[in-house]
Amino acid sequence: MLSITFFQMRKNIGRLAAAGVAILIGTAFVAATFVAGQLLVATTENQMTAPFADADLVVPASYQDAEDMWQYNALDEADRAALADVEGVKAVNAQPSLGGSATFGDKIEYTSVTITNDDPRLVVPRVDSGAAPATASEVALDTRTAERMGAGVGDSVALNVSGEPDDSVTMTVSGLTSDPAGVFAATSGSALVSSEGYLALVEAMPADSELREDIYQTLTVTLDDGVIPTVAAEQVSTVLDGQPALTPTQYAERQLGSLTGEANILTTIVLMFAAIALFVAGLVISNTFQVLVAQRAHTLALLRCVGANKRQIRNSVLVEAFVLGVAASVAGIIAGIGLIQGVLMVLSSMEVSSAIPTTVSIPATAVWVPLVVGTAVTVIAALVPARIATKVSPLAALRPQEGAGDSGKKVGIGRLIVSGLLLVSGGALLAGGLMMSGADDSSLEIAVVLGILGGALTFVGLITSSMLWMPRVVSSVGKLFSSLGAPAKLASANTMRNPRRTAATSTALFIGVTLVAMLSVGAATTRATLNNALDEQYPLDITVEQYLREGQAPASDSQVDSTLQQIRAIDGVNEIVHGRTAYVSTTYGSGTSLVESWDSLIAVDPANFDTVLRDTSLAGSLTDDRVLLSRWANANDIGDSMKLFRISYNDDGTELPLEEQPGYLNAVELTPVAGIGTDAYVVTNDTFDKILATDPQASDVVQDMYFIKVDDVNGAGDTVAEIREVFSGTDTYITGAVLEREMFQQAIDVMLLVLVGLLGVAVLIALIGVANTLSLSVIERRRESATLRAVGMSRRQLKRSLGMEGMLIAGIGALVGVVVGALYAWLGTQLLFGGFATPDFTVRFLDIALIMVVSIGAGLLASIAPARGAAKTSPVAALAVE
Amino acid sequence: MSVPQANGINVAVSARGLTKHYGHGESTVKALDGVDVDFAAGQFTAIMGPSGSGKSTLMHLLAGLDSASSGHAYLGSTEVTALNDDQLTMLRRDRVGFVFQSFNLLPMFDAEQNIFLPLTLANKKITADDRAWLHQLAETLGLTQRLSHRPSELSGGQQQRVAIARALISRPEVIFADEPTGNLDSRSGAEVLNFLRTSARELGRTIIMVTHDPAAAAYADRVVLIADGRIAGDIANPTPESVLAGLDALRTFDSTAA
Ligand SMILES: Nc1ncnc2c1ncn2[C@@H]1O[C@H](COP(=O)(O)OP(=O)(O)O)[C@@H](O)[C@H]1O
Ligand SMILES: [Mg+2]
Repeated sequence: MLSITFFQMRKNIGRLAAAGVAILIGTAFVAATFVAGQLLVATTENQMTAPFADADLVVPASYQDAEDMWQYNALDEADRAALADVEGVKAVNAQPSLGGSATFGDKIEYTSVTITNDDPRLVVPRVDSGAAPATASEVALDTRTAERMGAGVGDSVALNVSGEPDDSVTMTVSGLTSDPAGVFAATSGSALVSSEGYLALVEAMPADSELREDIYQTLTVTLDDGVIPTVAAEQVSTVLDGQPALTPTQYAERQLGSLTGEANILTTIVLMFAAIALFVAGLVISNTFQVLVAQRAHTLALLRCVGANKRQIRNSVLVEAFVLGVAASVAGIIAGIGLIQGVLMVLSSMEVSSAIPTTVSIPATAVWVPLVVGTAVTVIAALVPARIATKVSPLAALRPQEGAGDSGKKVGIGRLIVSGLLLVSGGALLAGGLMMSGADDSSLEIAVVLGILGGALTFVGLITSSMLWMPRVVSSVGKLFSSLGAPAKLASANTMRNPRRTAATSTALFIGVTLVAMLSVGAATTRATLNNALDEQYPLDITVEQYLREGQAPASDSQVDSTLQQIRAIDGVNEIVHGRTAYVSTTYGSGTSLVESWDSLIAVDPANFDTVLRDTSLAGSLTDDRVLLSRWANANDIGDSMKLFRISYNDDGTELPLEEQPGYLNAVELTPVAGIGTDAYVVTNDTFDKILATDPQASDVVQDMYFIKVDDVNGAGDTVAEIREVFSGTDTYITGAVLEREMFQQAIDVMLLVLVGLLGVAVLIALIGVANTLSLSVIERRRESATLRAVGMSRRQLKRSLGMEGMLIAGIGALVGVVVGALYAWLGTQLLFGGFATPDFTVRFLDIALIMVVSIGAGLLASIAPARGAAKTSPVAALAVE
Repeated sequence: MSVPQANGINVAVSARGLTKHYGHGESTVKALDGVDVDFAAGQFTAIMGPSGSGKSTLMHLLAGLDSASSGHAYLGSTEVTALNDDQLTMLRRDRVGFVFQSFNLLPMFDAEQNIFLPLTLANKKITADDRAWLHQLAETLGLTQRLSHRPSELSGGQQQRVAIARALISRPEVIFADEPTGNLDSRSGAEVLNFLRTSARELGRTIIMVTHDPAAAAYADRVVLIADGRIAGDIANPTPESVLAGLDALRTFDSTAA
């Protein structure tokens, strides 16, 4: 029997290989996920130990004690010095806890600080030009930081480790460094100083500064040749009163404890997508085996005639599936691991980061999980076909071989019941979730859980019942389609002759497309909903606030003009308006209910200001006797007049009573009107000047602001970057709807891209299924194709007919998927946002069109090879009698 | 090239030096070996001969289903052996019809759709004229009640009658039939043969039928005998007896030749 099994496998090797590709891709996905998960941990470990350069031992200030409790024991210069005397210690360095800023001319840059050492194994940055600092008054700057400030070797820069320019020490730039290990990638690079230099920087801070207490995060140590690290670690620890010394690997492993957990969660999430892909692969396999069994019916019947029993027949099919599963899984594991290795090679050639390993290490899970799962899926998928094979009666061998299709078979009652239960219970959960989400904040979480559960149950219900409804969809779409000429008529008739096979093939695609469409519509709706929310929150596209440092003079008119011109010249900027801001006291009410608070006030030229507002309904509402309310103000409390003024103080720093405040006494009464949603009150320039006139120091506290309107709120990424460039080196705070949009849209887009990429695997497998089904059908219909050719069908018509069949199968799966996916997206966004915003249901038709075009195009592509085979059939074959 | 004419009778199909080889070198099989033959228009001709004698091969070549190794085949004034695939497709659509041993109806179409298939493939609109023709055919073939049935709901004889209607729907010049009664019981077979004869006599179709059954051949107007890929005899107005006698003569010829 086994030899017959293998004979049949060899005969159908092409078909089996095509089905095997589905499993191969699925298992490659699983293997790659495990390898990548391991890689993530390794990369993080490398990143963690990178700040220690190539140290043999490290002593972190924060550590876990014998009871696993976290302890913090600040490290100081004495600790560092003490280690140098320990036997076997070659060199000692430290990783500073402090970082600050560097000033050169009027440019200021934040920077981390690292310490150089005679032992190059303890130095983190690489000196690219010039030299490492040799004295306390030298510094080697990060090349990019230096570039931004315009400083070079030999220049004097002011450096501090507190962030306060007052605490600076002037140092000469001795060299420029880079950061090959990417330790400071997240910050703006590091300034390399000598250990004396670092101590000088610490000394420059005020004597009472708390920062002086805690200057080193970690001590790093190299050992003499031949000294065993664990032995030296004990001596180091003894010198430091029991504070543990660790090898960098030990350190990373302790820190990683929690991180490995996170990597595992990530791996698990990705594995869920792999599971979807494998499920779809299972459908493809099951379909393939069913067709193979149908094609072999004659042989199987013959085997039964000559004495094979049902068990032997069933086992033969299962053995075939097992061999296929193992072979495909092994190939998939190799492909998955190879893929990641390929990515690593590309990354290392691009020198992305030295923290990323150059070769994969293969965890055992990356081998046995895909092997077991891949084989199991294949064998399980073959169970139904195996049962069908046993149902071939020995008598069938005696009948002529004319299959009438399987349209007569009924859908099992069990399947009906299970699907019904799934749909009903899932629907109930969804309805419950929808009702709860509107109620209040606290129930949202439960609502979301109910929604996810309900969504998953109904989806599984839809899949298990697809044999029931998909054929109906196929037949109604097919009927519409069949009016498009002879090939179309034939194609639609062919999709309907084996409704289960077509349904199974379409369902495989339906799964992936539903999820992709759901994500697309969900993302578009989320985006639109959040846009609406942001538009309400931010009346202005971009607001720039320039802080003045102590003693810094406000910008002159010509400086302001030049800034305005620079910004206007930027592509994508529609309009910019200059304004000013200061803190004032806002007072309203009277007598005992007089309310006084401390608020930001913005001054603008009303005519200009209107040009940067997106919402033009309030244009013209600002006049000299009015104030636009801040969005925090409660208009009802305020009444119909309010006073704004600068507070005056007594000599001892206390406030003057209100009735003595010159500002209050001289203040103009302003009529409050509805604001535009700014965080500050808004008045005209003239009113602002009057308010500030009572305060002699007023000019010191006025800061410049700019309000910018862009051409396109949704695509302003480059514009924002250029605006930032104009203000770089000054102390500015940039906010606005544009930035927020950029941020969350990017987040949504990246997430969408990643998820669609992960689902793409399932879609790809389903498309392989379409090709497989088509080519199997073509083999089955050899005689029919020949007959058609004999009665006047041209080769072109035959090919076109198969192309249409492919497009029809794929198109139906995609169409149903898009509709169901959009429905789920609607439900999901209702559930998520229903409580606090009106979901703005948005379908990006470009996305939907893309999904349809890709699916239908792939259906057409899948038909090319089978169509070629069919067109080659000689019409003579129609006359042949088997 | 001159179109063969035989004694002033219109020739519908003819072959000159028609030869077909299968395989190469040592294992070459000469399925047809320089066959010259004419088939008169409006006549029902049976091609007979022992199994493997080349009957089917001759038919394939005459109908343009397969290419000849050498020689020429004509359909009316068209040299079939000189046409390319597209031209052959057109020829099959408009000018010839086929009836197969195993019926070869499309299982997903009903009888009417199967009959109209050649018109559908030619993207022809089904006219009132075509419908009238269909009904006439259905009536004659006893299929009127069966037009909406699928092949799986029809008996073998009914399926073959549908196939004959399909072959006739585009009013072709010639109908080729390869063992049309091979899969039928004798009663259904007789019905089919009767109808083929009616088609020739009353509808004026040229019919060329391959068979190895002398009783079936007796329905024809003429029997062409073939042996070892060559024409080996010609019987006009055959009866089962005269056909058997002819076949016997072939066998004796065979054994004396051997
Ligand atoms: N496709 C083929 N390849 C090789 N030999 C063939 C092929 N078709 C027919 N033959 C051979 O050609 C000869 C004639 O076959 P055929 O015309 O089918 O005979 P008939 O129909 O009279 O039984 C036979 O010897 C047969 O074996
Ligand atoms: Mg034959």
